[in-house]
Amino acid sequence: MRFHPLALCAALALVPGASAQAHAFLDHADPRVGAVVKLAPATLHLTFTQAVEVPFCRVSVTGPPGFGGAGGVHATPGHPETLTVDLHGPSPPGAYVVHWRVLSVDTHVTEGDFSYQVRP
Amino acid sequence: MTSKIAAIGGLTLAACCWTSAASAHGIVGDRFFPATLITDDPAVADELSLPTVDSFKTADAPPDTQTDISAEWSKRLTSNFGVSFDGAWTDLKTPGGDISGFQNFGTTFKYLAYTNAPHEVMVSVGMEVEWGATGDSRVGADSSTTLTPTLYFGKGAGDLPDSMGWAKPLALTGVIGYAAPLEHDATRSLETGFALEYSLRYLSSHVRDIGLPSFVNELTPLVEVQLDTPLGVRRTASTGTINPGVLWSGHHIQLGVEAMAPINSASGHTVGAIFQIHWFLDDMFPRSIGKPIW
Repeated sequence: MRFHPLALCAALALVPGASAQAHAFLDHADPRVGAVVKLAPATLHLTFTQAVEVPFCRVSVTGPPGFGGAGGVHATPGHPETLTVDLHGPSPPGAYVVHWRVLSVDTHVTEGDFSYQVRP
Repeated sequence: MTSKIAAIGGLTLAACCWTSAASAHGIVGDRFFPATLITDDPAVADELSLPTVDSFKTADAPPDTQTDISAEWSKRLTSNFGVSFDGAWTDLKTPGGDISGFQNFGTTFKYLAYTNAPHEVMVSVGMEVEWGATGDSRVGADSSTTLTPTLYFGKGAGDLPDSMGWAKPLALTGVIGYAAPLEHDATRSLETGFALEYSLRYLSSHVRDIGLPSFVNELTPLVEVQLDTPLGVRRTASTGTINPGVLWSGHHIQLGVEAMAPINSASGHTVGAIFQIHWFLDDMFPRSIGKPIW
């Protein structure tokens, strides 16, 4: 019996994964990565491609002089893949850099950073 | 109570892993180097390429149509040291009829020697062993065992200045190997290759989110170049291919497809194609076969 290579590929592609766990990469953020916003946000939302272990996630934010800094990292109810970060006021106009380091639920550590600008 | 104990246990395990920061995949700092189809990436990881299928016409006159189906399993022994096993089955459609058989089996030992997270650099060294006479000579398998000490590297462009933000998703990976057959009169060769990649995930996560759909953000367009340059007194022309294509990196698998364009007449006359399904075993089985043995 002959088989076609593409048939084998198609069959393997249909094999389901073992679970919905993997490395957590940043899927999107609010404010958006690289965005210019008129109103300074009071909180940041970072949504990852996988659920994360909130107690072992760190988010730091640096900003222009006068920036009040970032507060704690919180879980977002109903969204285990999203972190909420409170910002202490004030948030003056300027460039902000967000650095994140997270632990996905399957124990893989990933990190990264992005920036946004407040420009009224 | 049981669930609380389980939760505490899980968090303790997580805390242990948090401090080790050893990650499989090709991750260094902000950069993820995806597994490339033709040139090996610099990462030491638990992964499986099954299958890789390519088809092209050979440089013979008249040309044969060659189809290869190959597989490679990579296993971390420690977080920085791994071993891979590979094999390929070849079908040749020749004017005289079909010939098929296995190529020589191979084993690769790879050590992740250097990483630099801020500059997104990853360097590994390895030894590739092609075990002579384990394949079928009718499809080109050599009788001689070949040792290929190899240098693997990867460099992301994330450290470029912000004024060049559009270029930050670029990355270059490559290999340089010296293939030395153990038969003293066999031709030695320099095996080189590189992959120039543009990560849309990097663009949306680290530079600028332009609102692309998630599926698009998981794509990495790339061009791979692979060259085989014979050395010594019986030098012949270099052969190789230029391979533009795209990778899609999902949670557990990566799909890749590339065209295979020969660089000269000694490499072929028509454009072939290659396709791969790549499995991230460290994500699929993080607590069993997807983690280092030691």
